[in-house]
Amino acid sequence: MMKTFSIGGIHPSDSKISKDCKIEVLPLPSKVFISVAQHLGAPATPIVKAGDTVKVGQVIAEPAGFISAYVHSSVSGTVKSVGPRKDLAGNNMTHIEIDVEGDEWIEGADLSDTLVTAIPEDNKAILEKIKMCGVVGLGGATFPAHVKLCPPPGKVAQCLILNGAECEPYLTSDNRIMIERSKEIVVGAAIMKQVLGGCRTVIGIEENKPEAIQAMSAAVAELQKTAKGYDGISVMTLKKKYPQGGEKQLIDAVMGRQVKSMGLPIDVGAVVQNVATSLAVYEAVQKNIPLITNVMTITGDCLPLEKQHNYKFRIGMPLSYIAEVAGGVPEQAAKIISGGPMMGKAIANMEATTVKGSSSLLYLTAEQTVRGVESACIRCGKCAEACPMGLEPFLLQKYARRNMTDELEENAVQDCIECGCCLYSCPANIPLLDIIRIAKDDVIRIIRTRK
Amino acid sequence: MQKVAAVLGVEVAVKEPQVAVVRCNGTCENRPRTNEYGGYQSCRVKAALYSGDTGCSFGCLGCGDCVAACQFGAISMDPATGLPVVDEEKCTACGACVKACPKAVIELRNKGRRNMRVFVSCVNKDKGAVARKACKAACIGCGKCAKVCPFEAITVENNLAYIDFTKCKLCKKCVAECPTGAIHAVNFPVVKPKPEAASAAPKPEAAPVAENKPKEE
Repeated sequence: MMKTFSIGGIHPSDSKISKDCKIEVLPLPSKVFISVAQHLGAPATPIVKAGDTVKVGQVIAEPAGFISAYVHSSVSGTVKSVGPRKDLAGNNMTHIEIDVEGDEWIEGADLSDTLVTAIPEDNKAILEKIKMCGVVGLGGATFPAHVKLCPPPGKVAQCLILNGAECEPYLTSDNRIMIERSKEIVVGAAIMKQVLGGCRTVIGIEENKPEAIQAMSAAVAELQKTAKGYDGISVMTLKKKYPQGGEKQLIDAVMGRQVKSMGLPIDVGAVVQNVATSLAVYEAVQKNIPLITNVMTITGDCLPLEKQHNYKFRIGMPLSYIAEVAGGVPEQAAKIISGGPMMGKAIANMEATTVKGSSSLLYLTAEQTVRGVESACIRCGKCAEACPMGLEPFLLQKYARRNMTDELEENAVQDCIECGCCLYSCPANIPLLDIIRIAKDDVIRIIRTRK
Repeated sequence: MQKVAAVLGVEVAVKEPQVAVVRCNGTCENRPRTNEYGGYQSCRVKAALYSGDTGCSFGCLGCGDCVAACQFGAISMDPATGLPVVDEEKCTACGACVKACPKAVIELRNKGRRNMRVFVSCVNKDKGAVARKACKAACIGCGKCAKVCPFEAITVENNLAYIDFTKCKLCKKCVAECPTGAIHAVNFPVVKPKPEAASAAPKPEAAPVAENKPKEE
């Protein structure tokens, strides 16, 4: 039987309309605006100023703390300005504006298609490279990858899990890279596996991506035959269920272990990295290419099939430019979402630019986005049944509305992963997640100040 | 109060009476909506999601968290402007609305002599052009007010002017100088020879100043 996580979960229609659209490379715009906050943690500090010339892959901002990351230029040209610009949510963030001139890369970057299977031996050098290339987790949280690959003293990684679940409806970028760049992903996995001390490695993919499962299995088999260091890597088909791609859910599905409240995956011996992160690790370590590109899906029910795309973009491209290249924003689109429909964010500002973690432009129609009128909770328990963390959203929202932080903490509001299953399943249209998210922030702040 | 304090053995600090002041004049007219918010009607929820449904990422979000927080029924939303209005009679300056506002739009300011107050009704820290594009009544940080102020009560920091109510002597020179009408003078008596000068009622009538100024320039 196919495995999946044990608690809660929902089954939204997967709507992977663009799953057969091959990855296309976006042409360069005349200008890019590169944000210094493309990762979890402190925004990076810019190290270039107006008038400087930069090459593709050159560092333009340095990490400003332990949890932070390098940011590289995605184009070659002249820095026009460094200053505040509105991001996706409309808030001000420092962006580095670069006028594009040609496409000249830094020295040492290997732009050829040849697959490099030999893994360097020095783990420290590998980690340093991952850090210097600004690799962050591309599953959504954009947590700096090198930090995750250094387990704290006393903790041992027993299993590296590659997240190929892509459980969010509509998104198909991970599916496409698993089909088109399968070998590179496996090499990336083997590199991370070696850094973690050679633990078991499982690539978890949901059953609705048969082509990806086939391609990844074939890549693993071939590399195990032809190269060294690829033992212990396997592909696991998972039953389709949202939110399988959640870190804790995937660990449960693959290893059958549950991370305790406020715990980290490493507590149960697991390290989870997205398949796209694995590809970024490959490019960084084997090809000297920093993380300046990623794949995003342009999709939506109101888009005809020929306008659905999977694009390889460079960071800093304005979303309006990408929408334009893709054939314009459809008239029926009432809401444009960056990310999946469950956890993605509505875009308030189309002049915002792509970041390392950008995964989609999803066009939703008015019917799809309308919220029902809120009515009273009838205590049907559907939200509690759906919650993959085993929480009781109906109870939490009542406490949250009354600011009862002690009770909220007792009922583990801090464990909420904001997946939206509760809101999705509520027949009374209660904005459960909206309310709980705020309470969670409060409680986490209280817990932090206590420490 | 002094006697009660004496019994309790504590001292009472003498404090000027204060009132909650809403420092945003981003009415529907001044600050056009750029998108539609369809989520839960709470300023905190809205602020956690994004910058709001206008071009200004600093101003009032208009979901009325302050109204809900007020225990005295002193704040209400004006449906015409979409902004909260403080009832000065009922306001006790407890500060609940100040805490509830995620954008720190509301400030407790001294009530002032005969309730007369001069304040900058804007909290936008964007550069002048950006702020002006988002809202007609925004402070653009030009610094004219700070130059004209004879009492050094005005400071301009991060493209935003702030009037120190302890230093302000209510001369209103800054009100006349402000090119966007972001500085409001409330509760001043009507001056007879000049019909267009500031009036007796608060905000709604302070707005004409805002509209007249740009035309003159």
